[in-house]
Amino acid sequence: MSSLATAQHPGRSDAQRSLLYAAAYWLAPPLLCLAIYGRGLLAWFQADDFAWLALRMQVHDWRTLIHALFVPMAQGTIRPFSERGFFLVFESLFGVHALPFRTCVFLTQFANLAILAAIARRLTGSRAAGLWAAILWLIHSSLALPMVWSSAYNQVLCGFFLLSAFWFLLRYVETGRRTDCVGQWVMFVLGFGALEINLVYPALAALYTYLCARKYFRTTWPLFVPSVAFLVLDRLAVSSKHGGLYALHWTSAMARTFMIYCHHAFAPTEVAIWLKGGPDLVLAIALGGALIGFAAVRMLRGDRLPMFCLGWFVILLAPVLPLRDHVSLYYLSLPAIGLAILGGYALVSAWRGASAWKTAAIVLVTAYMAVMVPVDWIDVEWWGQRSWAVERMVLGTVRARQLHPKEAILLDDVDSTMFWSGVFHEPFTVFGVSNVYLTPKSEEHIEGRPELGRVSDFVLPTGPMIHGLNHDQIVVYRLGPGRPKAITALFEDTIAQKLSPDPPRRVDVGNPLMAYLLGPEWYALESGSRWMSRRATLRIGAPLSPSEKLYVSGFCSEAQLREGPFPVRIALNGTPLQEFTMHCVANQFHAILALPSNLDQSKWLDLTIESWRTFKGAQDGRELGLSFGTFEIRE
Amino acid sequence: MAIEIAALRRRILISFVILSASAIAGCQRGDLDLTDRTEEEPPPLAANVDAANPLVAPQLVSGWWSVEQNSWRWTARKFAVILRTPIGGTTEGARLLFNFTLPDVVFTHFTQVTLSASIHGSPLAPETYRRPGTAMYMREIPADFLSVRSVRIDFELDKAMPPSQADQRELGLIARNVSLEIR
Repeated sequence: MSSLATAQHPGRSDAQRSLLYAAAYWLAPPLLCLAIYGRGLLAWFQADDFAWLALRMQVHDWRTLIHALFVPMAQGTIRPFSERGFFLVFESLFGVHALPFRTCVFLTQFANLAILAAIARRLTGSRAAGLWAAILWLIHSSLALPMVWSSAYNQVLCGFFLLSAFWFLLRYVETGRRTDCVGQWVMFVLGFGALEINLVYPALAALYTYLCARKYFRTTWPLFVPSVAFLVLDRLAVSSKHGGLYALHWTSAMARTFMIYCHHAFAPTEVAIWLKGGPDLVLAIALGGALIGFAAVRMLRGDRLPMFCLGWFVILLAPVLPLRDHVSLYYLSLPAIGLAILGGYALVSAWRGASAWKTAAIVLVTAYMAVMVPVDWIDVEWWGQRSWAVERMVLGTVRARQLHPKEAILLDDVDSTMFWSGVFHEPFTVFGVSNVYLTPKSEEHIEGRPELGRVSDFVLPTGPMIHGLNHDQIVVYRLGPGRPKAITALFEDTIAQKLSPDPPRRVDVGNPLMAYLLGPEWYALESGSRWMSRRATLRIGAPLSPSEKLYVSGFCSEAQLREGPFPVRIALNGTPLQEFTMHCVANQFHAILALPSNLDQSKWLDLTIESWRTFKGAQDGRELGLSFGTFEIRE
Repeated sequence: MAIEIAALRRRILISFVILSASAIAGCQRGDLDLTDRTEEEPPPLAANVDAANPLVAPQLVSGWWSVEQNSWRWTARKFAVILRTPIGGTTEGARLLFNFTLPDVVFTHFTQVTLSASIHGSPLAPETYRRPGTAMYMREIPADFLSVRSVRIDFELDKAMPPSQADQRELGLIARNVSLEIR
């Protein structure tokens, strides 16, 4: 019957076959994406995700919403669509379920793959080259992180805007229709909400039109205006004194960084450590050399498309080259699009050539896949496992809070990974859980990263811990491969017995577990700080060496300083320290005071604070002197 | 043909959207079910026992009546409590602190009341109370007595109000809190 039908309707059979091809063409990249990165769809939150999830708690009205969406944060980034708006909207709709966030990332990437295939097809005139471009980009190992970590959505979404804008440019070049030009502008401008790298799009458009559509070259010039404006605003909003990892180094180091990225583009040795020591160079030279060789040959024949593809790589990479100390594989995800288009083009060209070229193409693409796909799997699995460990810790701690609403929660056996991808980002606050600490000496087995912060700020000192355990104010949970396990009794009977009950050398007066160190003059706890009246006392651990100093921090208001700065006196065991004057900066004050050399050899010191000015609390009429945060004795 | 491919693209897009919508449909906002997110231990012994706290009630081993007004309990003439040895107590010793109230009604029956205590059978010095109101019984406990994980402390009053028609209970004092604290 079917053969008869086929015989009677040969045209229909061809149409069905074409539809089948078309379905395969458009479905293959998304399905391959799911096959490679599918575990990333199930990943939970980690690291920076919690800062974005906590953003919702700062939004109360339109004014705070605008503030949350647009005020520059970490390294001066804004990114309202890919980070702040993304997290605000999805958390508002779905709470802290990660699946909708991940689904959105995957859908955006599916769209990217379709647009890239369409672009490559238009550029090369080959459907196969379009498909290969999408596949080669998809499996590039720089995409692993964005496909498993929601905070890296900015790369995927920026890719969407860049590719869409460029696709509209191609249509505009083809049709000359104003609507396509408008489409390009809309996608380009929206791209600024995804990632700062979007500002290089005008260079991409200019390069393409200069090389391949000179008639439209001038139409790309106005695109530079928004980019320059964004750059100026961004630089004005960001402090130029960025240090650490994100410091910009406009030096010859940029050339070295460029070479590192070129190497990683073909040999991702950050993950594929088995390639180190030779094979990585062979691979990078073979793949890179093949692409450059192909580009050179095509350019000699007057084909300028390969030059544009290489230009795409360089232009998209340029903004991260000054980040000398922060070379990250995932920064290659957008530059790699240029290489993928060139790769697809080269593959199809080779396939049309002599059998030697076919063989070479098969060998090279097989080598590329043999490296990239395992790296993708390893990377996604590593990041996924890390997210699930963070999930166990965070949700376990939230459960512990449900079971122990009044007690502080102490986490034991927190390792470096769990600390820097979880605890450090204060994930518990997203769930309204506070008073979570690490057990004493945790900092000894957590790798220090001073450029990010101090582990010790998260550790409960031994004195308050023992006091808290003895007064049933603390529960202890041990982390491990499974659920957090309550070990309070075991901890009390073993580890705690070996710890010193002496007062700590850092007293946080806003910590209820340290209230026993405070004299009766202090008022009740208020949002992590306490007011004193004119005079107050507290007990603090003694210095370890005479060179140590007393670091004091607290909170202040304009009302306190209406009559000008005023002096504050602090004495240790009755010996006055140098008087300091209260200066309020951004509602906070700090002081560093030298310690007297003739302190008693005791384990602790009694500290007295006197404020030379007090005022009446507006609401309760209390005599208010100073509001303190911490006292710390250290080098 | 071009129309059919366009339709196919739309179908693919719609399929993805429907699949995604159904995948995330189960992720409605609301409280997370966190049951079984932790592995719990039996309630640990406390070194500090509030008489009204139901969580530490198992440590009030004998001679304690029910919680009243969510804050205290009457005791009988003899009563006992188990306290966890505080951390540091095994080396430094500890202080036994017992906060209680002797209401007026007690002194309508007696002119004075004496409270004594023993720890693992070793007696601690007694104390006599002659006025109604809040009171404290405090004794230093040597480290030798605290070498074990928990200790039983037996209290005894020299007299108590006997059961009556109005109240069938033998009533000693109103207990609020008993604890072992490191010095």
